[in-house]
Amino acid sequence: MYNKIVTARDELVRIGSLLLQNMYHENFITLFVDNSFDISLSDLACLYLYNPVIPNQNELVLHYSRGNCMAVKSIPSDSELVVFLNESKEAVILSRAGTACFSELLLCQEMQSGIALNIGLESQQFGVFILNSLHANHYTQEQFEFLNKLCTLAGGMFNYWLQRKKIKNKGIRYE
Amino acid sequence: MNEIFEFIRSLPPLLLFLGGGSVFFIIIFCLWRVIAFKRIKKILKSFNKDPDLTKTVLLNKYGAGALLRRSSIIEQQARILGLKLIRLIGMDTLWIGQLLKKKTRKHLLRVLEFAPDKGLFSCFFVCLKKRYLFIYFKKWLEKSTGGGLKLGNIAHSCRGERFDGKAGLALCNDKVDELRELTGDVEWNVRYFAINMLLHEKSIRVLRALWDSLTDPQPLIREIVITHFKPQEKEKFYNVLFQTVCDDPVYQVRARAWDRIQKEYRDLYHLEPRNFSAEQAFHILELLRPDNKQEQNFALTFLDHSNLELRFAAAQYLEKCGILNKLFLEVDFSDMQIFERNFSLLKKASEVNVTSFLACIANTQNRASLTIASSILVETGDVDFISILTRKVFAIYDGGKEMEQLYRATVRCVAERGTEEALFFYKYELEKRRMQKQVMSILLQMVPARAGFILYDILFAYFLQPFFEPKEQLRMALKKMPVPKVLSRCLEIIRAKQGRYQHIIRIEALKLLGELNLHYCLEIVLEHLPQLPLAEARTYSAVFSQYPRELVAAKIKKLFNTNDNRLRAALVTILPQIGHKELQQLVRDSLTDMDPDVRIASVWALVEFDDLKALNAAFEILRDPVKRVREQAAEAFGKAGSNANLDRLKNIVLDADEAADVKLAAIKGLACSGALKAIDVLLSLLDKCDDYTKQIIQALSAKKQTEELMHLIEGFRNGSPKQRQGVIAVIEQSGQAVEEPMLELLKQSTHSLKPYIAELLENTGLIESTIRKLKDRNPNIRQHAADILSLIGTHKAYRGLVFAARDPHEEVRVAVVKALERLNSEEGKLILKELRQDPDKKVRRYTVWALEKLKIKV
Repeated sequence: MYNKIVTARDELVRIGSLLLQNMYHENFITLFVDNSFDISLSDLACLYLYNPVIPNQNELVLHYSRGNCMAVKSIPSDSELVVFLNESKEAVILSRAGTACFSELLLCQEMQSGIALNIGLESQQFGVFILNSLHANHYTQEQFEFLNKLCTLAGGMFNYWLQRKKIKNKGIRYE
Repeated sequence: MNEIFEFIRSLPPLLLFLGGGSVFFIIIFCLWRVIAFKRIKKILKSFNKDPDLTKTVLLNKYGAGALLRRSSIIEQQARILGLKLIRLIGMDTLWIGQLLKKKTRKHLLRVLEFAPDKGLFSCFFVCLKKRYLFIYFKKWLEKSTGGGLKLGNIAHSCRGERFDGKAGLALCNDKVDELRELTGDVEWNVRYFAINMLLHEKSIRVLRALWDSLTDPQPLIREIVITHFKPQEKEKFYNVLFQTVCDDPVYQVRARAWDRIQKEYRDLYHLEPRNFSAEQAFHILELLRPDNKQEQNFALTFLDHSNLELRFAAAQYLEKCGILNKLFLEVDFSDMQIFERNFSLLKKASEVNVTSFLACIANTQNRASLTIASSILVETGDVDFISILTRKVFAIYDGGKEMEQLYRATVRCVAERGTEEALFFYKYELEKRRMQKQVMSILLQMVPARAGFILYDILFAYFLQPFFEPKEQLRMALKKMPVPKVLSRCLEIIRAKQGRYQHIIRIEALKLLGELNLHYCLEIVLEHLPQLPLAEARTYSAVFSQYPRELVAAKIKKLFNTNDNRLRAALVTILPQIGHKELQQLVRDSLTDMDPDVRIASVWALVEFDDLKALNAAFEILRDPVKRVREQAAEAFGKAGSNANLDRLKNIVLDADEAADVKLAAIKGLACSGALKAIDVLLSLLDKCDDYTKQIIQALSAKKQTEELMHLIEGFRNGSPKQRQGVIAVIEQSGQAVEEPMLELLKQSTHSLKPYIAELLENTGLIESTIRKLKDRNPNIRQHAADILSLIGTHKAYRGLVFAARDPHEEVRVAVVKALERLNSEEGKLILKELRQDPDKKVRRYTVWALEKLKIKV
């Protein structure tokens, strides 16, 4: 148990410093998603973001994804999952497919479990990060806590990254 | 002959008299007629010489009825003198009017003879009503034009009068082609005449002309076509109608088109606000009908529109159909969402001056409605409603918190826009509430200056009551009253003989006089300053910042040289506010004054001057022989707050040889200090001075600012057992006073002190009292309690929260679910399983979330 905690902490520090170093680079998002994907041994990781230039948008657009499955390109901002995340400021875990609630969390039919995490600050939401696995009960308490902390850590960095993007491009262009 | 005379003689005298009288009158009448005939003939004959004079004389002597009665003589003369006479004296108009009224052949022929240009259409119009006249009309036309019936002539004399086109077409059914040609005439009246008749013709060529007429430049033509045209292509016609409703610039045309849609195409239209431009939406809003739900909803979407034109049209419509009244009356504080929504909509309506819904206040006691009315009437709306509102609200206000907002808003309404009647209500309210300090405070704060003639007497009556509260607000109110009256009364009180007025009233009069800011009264105010207690003089000294500095300084210098100790002490107290550097030396010198009050005032003045150098030099004053000087000096040193001072105060407490009184003064000084270091000093003293623990805890209890509390909590985290115990005692002692700021600290969830704050809050009994609030009947209080417990987040708090699992308020149950997830207990899981069947979707969603999270917890 001790080793596990130490490893999780070490990983958090490693990824945190890596993200910090690349906070102003284009590959910041890639680093964040890829590392989360690898550490959690997920089968799909998708980062959905609001466009910071347009206020009151009605959808979050897929910004970067990793995994073999084709995820949806956008999620409506009034979907049950997004509303819950915004309102509760909590992360959501789904251990098994088939429940009526939070089914949007599984981005492909073959996915069996998943985690949805808020990306943002206390006062502002930038997007949602979703991880899926092909196996039921894939995610453990440690993985959940780790990802939750990583997203909290990355929230501030996202703020800087998006601000810089905003100034540079006067709006993010989604493909 | 004799027989006739005999017969007459045999008649009774009365009959004879009557008969004779009748004959006499008939002769007189005939004579009068002959004279009148000759007179008018004479006037008419003068027409050739001077037509204008003839007209003036004729019209002065004869009215319309008299002229009409003399039509035959005028006709005769017109035949001799020409038709110009008829036009000049306006007989053509009179005859046309008579023709339209009587509709006889005689009148028809008269008009045709003497006013053919002007009256042709009227003749045609009469023929439509009396068809037999058409023969004469047609004959005359044939004769006058030398050919057949020329409709163009009739059309030209038409001026857009309404007439029965169907009947017209029936008279001229052989003239359809001519009518069709007339539809292309450049004169609108001609086109109107033709189209009005052709509307009842069904031939294809005519239909085309009618379709074209839907876009005729003359609105009257568009209007009649829209009203009477009945084409086969229903959908095409509906589209034209709807387009007309949206885009036609003339209201009457749009209204006719809308009528037609409502009558025949009601099932075809659907109003979707997004589909219309601003102008189109405005046109539609003008025409909406009061009884249609869909149209009401359409209008409601525009009530909060940023375009004021649209908002105005929507508000007018909603006012007409009573929706605004409904929005106004159907509000309740138990559903704040609806209240806020309705309030916002009504406010928007009031911004475009649609406020008649406020009249409903006369028939309602609904507090929510009255609250809305009061908020709107402050800015706009009929001022007469303010009187009604005032009467109602002043009658029902019970002094409770729930109605305070309504009461304040109503008082503001009266103050800002109230009528004289409302101001009298204000006066009665001032009389009625004289024993309720809070209410008086509201009333006095908002006393309007313009109500001086009504309120002055009652306000001054209160001013003379020694125990009246609130005094400050009363002075503020009196400042708004007529200055000559207030000034003379203040001077009278200040200068009155001892015993006439109580001291407290004198003080108030002096304060009021100073606050009036009358420079010519400065000497009086300064000379009477000793009447104020020193502490009060210190707060009062701010008044002098409004006076010219040099003037105040010069007067103080002069007064300082007098022998009066009380005056010197009072002057020293106000010096810092004046901020004159030259006067600072006076303060330093006064530290060694014989009078204790002067010494106290000097210490405080140095603190306020921020003259730390002089203050440090005067530290010995802590050992002053007079106790109150020592105490006040310690307090002053504490407030001055330099680190060196605080250390010196600490050393005094630790000094074994120091007198107890001085030590207590030093602790008091530390309590008064605003510096965070004072907390450190007091905490360190907790370890070292067991004899003064109680006083130190009391001193620490004075620290209630958020920053101070945070420092105290840090002291708790890092402190020794004694210090930790001391902080717990401080929190216990402070109780409710520190709960709010500590909860605020707790909300900063990232703060590392969170567990310590929670631990301390457990000691204040906050958790138990909050758990009790979970049973309150007010759902807002229950939800607030649940939020607090979630925030504290200790095991004890979560356990308390679980009791509310069956709360009817969904937000409370959501908080329970979150608590159960944190607790992660077996019994919690059972409750969660129950909550999975909760009727509220939100609660079920949170329950699933919690259960899923618990699955991964070991």
